[in-house]
Amino acid sequence: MLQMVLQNSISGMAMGLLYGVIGIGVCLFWQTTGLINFAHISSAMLGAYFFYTFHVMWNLPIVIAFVLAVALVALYGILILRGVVYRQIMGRKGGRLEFIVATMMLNIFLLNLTIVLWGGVPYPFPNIFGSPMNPLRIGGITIQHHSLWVLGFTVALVIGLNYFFKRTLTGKALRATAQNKDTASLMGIGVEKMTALSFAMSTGVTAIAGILLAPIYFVSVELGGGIIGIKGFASAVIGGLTNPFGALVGGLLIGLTENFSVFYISSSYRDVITFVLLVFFLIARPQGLFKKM
Amino acid sequence: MNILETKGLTKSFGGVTANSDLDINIEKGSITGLIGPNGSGKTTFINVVSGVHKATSGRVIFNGQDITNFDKHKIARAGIARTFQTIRLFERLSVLETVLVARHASFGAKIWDAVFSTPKLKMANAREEARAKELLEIVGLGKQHYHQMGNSLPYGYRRSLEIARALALEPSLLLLDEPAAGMNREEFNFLQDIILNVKQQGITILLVEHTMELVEAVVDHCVVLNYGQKLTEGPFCDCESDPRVIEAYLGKEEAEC
Amino acid sequence: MQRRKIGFLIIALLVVLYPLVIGDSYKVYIMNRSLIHAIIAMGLVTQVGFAGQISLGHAAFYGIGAYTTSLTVLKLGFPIGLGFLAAILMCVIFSVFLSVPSFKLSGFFLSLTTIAFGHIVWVIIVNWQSLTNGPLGVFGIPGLKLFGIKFNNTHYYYLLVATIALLYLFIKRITNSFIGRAFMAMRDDELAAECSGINTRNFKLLAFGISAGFAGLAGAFYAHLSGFISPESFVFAESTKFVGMAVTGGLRHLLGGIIGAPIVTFLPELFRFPGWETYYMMAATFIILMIVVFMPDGLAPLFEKGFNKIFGERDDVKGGSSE
Ligand SMILES: Nc1ncnc2c1ncn2[C@@H]1O[C@H](COP(=O)(O)OP(=O)(O)O)[C@@H](O)[C@H]1O
Ligand SMILES: [Mg+2]
Repeated sequence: MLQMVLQNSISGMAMGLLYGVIGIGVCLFWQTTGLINFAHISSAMLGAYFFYTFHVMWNLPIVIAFVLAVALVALYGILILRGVVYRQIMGRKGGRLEFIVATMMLNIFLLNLTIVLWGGVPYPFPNIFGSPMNPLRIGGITIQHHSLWVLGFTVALVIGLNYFFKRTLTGKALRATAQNKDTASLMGIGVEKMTALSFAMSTGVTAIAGILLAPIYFVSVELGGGIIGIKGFASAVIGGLTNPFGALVGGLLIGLTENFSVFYISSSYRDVITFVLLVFFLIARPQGLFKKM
Repeated sequence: MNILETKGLTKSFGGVTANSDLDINIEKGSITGLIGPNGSGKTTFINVVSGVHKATSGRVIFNGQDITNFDKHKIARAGIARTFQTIRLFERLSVLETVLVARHASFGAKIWDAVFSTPKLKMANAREEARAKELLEIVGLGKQHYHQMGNSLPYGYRRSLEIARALALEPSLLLLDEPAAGMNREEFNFLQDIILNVKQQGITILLVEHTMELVEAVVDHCVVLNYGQKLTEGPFCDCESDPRVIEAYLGKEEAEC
Repeated sequence: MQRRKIGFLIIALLVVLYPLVIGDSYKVYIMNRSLIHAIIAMGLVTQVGFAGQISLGHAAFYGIGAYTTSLTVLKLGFPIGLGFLAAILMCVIFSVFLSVPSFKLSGFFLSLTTIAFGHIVWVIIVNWQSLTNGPLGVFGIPGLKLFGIKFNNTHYYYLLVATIALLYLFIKRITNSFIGRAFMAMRDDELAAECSGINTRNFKLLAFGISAGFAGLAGAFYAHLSGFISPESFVFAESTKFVGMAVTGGLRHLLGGIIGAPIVTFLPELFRFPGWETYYMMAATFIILMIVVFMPDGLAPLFEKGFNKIFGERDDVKGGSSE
């Protein structure tokens, strides 16, 4: 019994952390723009495909492929998402509605673009995060190497972001911009640059999540079209949207709920429970669990 | 007789108590001025009375009826209309349509009247449009403006349009939140005429205003707020010369400099 | 004025002649599908464009409509007409559940709620196998019949065109009335609308109800037209497609849905050159993306302008409609 609870907790945690990392990307975007990007999850898909291309197709070393993939997605965030979509819509004082619709269409376009560039067939992801065939076994509980990698990446990301926001000048400036653009501008902070930075960080972080998700979902358009993205939004909303680390807690909550509901109720209704959780939070506690960072 | 009475009305936002234990009476048919330095809780008072914010405690009595925390539209239909400190017009509605929005309840028509385009609706349309035009006339918006977008009007006219929309509810109490802010001389004089004209039609007014010239010219009675509390009340000249009031305003200005 | 009448006549003639000229049953079938989508997009124009209440879960209503008519007809022996009514009614009832969150939420939060609603309905359709037959779908849904004649694609086409004309009149009268004004006031500034005496809850219920009813009707048409329904027609991507159609046509234009749906449906076909098969979807979605990003009012205003240019302006279009 205890063993099952532990096993479910560990499996749920790995997935939950990944939802959480996507949620962090959502928060980084919301912080400075007050908007939600419905093409958010396509950054994860692009990240996975770029990494696959660089590492598997072009045989670049893992680290270089990883950095290149994340950087390329961040560049897309700055040049296309911000440079074209955001700039056009906000430039004519378009509303949230327009942004929602435009990013949704961007997502669909990117899905189709991906199909053209890489074909619609999923690629198996190389076992660089350990093979699922020989997991760690500790007293009857199996732990995938992949889960440990996820945990490692998440911890590194949290430490890195925390350092960035609390210790570096740019991070502080970014936080000031998130608080109040006008004040930040008066303080001599380049608001435009900060917005660009937050687009890059949001898409970049999500790309990392995509690379980590690929062993589970394969390198496939499933990554960019499925409901993982909505779960990322849900994590961010539950965490409070203004606090990137809250999103991790939100993600964990979803991951664990999913795993336990599969175990105790039924796998078919897993997503229903997640979405009920989301709607419950939206209605009962729209400000989420955590305060502004 | 008082048209509006608040009893111990309190509103706090987290730690900030924006309205603290306010007992404010507004006499029917009068113009009451509500003044006080920035952040003293004037707008909050209007927001609580009009139902935009829920009161933390205390009561709002309108025409002898307890309306505390009623829904906004119920309060509006009961006869309390308001304008906003920062103008809030409808982005994509014309001047005439903006006023007609507030005539909604007077149409007395149902959705089926719209679907079947019944004579009843046509009559209501004509009647309400005529009334809306009368109201626009009162605030000085003529024919040439009817089909312009509300937000495309010059600043002073936008304020007037807000007043016309409020009057379209045929209110018995009108709450004006800094209507003269940002107006030029000409607009200002015209606003003064509008306010007196509205009073003449028997509508009670609560006027929140920083321009003392306007307050002095139109109000019958004055209430002064400071830090969310009622500092004093009485005729304008008494309030104006009250040393506590002077200190409240000066103290604030010094702090801001 | 005379010239405008000629213009309308020409358009009406084109619409009437279309299936006769095309004659190709499959193309008419695709056109019918797009007209069904147009019904949903018209509902979205009303709800999202006029009333300002976003929905990214309309595939759910489409599905509820399709399943309601299929199951009542097949399992309860309802006549098809009654099945249609049941479909619409069921969707209106479900729309109440979805409008309640909208009393409290708007913008992104509302859109997430509607997405969640769409998914929940979809998962239930897939898993409630005893009722819906799960992923396999429902087979053998009878087609429409009149005087003993089974409807072919051309019959459906005319029925759909007539239905759309009626629905157009319906939303035109509503949006041009005091109700439409309340919708738009609520969309532009909810607080100011409420302080002007508008009970926004009622109008949210109404807006959701209308567009859910439209989607339910569309679902019923789809079920009887195709004879087979399965959950994959009601996934989230369909919801986004419906919104995309409304936006491409023009979210704040009464013709938005009617113009948007066929364009989004047939655009990919335009790019289906030999040797280009892999690119056509990408090209089509790229163009739609460009329309959404660069032309916020969609294509309907262009059509209107073009029409006015050829056939003359309406006399009462500028200034003083009742003067
Ligand atoms: N929505 C709100 N949330 C939090 N604090 C508020 C809000 N509205 C007003 N306040 C606070 O209440 C106090 C009174 O504000 P307000 O009523 O706007 O003053 P006034 O209109 O007299 O300038 C201020 O300290 C203000 O910061
Ligand atoms: Mg104020």
